[in-house]
Amino acid sequence: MILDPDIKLMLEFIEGDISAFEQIMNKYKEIVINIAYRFIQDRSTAEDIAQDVFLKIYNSAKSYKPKARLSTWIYKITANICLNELRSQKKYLKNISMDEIGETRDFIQTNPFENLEKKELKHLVKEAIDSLPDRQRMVIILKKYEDLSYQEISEIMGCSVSAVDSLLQRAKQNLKNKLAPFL
Amino acid sequence: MKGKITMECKKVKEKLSASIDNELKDNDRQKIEQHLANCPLCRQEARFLSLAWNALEVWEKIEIPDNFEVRFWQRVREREPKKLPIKRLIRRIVEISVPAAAVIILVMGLILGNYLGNYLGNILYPIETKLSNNKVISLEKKDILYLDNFDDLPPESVGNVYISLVSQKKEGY
Repeated sequence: MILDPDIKLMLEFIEGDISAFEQIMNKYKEIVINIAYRFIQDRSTAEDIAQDVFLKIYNSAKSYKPKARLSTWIYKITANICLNELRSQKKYLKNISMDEIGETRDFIQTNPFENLEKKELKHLVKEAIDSLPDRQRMVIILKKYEDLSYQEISEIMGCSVSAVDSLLQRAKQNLKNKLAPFL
Repeated sequence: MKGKITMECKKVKEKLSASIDNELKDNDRQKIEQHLANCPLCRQEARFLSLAWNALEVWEKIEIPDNFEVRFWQRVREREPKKLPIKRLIRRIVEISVPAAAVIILVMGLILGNYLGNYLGNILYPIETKLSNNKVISLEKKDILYLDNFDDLPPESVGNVYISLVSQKKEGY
């Protein structure tokens, strides 16, 4: 059986090799911070979350048991910390009001999609993702930006593959409803 | 656009998300494609879903801050329990144990002194009393029940009257 190279690094770290942990951190820090940033949409908080993720990995070394790929474990820790952070901040979904859609729609009618600047579209995308319920938001990020399979996402989120499918269906419907007027 | 939503359309719409994500088996994917070729409503739905999905790509990644690892190792050091050097450990033990020992000695001294005081007091200053047969005995303080241990008698009680009469007789009335 070929051992996951990341698990091998983790086992070396448990034996006392700090450089193995540094390799793990180098490999995953960009992934972790970007998941956190897209979820929380605050750079400073995203950095803190990323620090917390690696602290958790560092301190969990003694109790770590390689049951799944290390990447799945790291994603799982990241998702849990992000979801907990959102709950602790008591962030509620911001619903775009019909007035706002109306104003933007008027803007689009006179300014076709082709003229919509990338910056404005990015803002719309951010708002659309921010408006999603937390679990829908997380699966969208894991699927779209990390290109994980439904099976991997189900292991990370602790639910079934059909539940992931259902979450993604609803999330995409919500995104379509938010973005369709501008597309 | 003209078209009629059928039961099949509802089933197809449920699978559009998985189709975009390439999560369908080949058989299911072919059925979806065949339906979309003939159903303008589902085709429009699939198009808007794809557009919205692709629009998400405008959101780029952020860069890792330069001091990320420095901050991380600083937090690790802050959380680790501090290991005291041996000399400081010994000095800390001495600083705590000497005053503690002094307090214990003081308390033991008070207790011992009280005990010795009672013991020696009984030996050096015995309380003697004369019994009715003129025999003198030494009593220890603990054996004596002083009158001030009792509550005062009520003024009009028999006991109080008796004591008054006895007191008057002693004084020669």
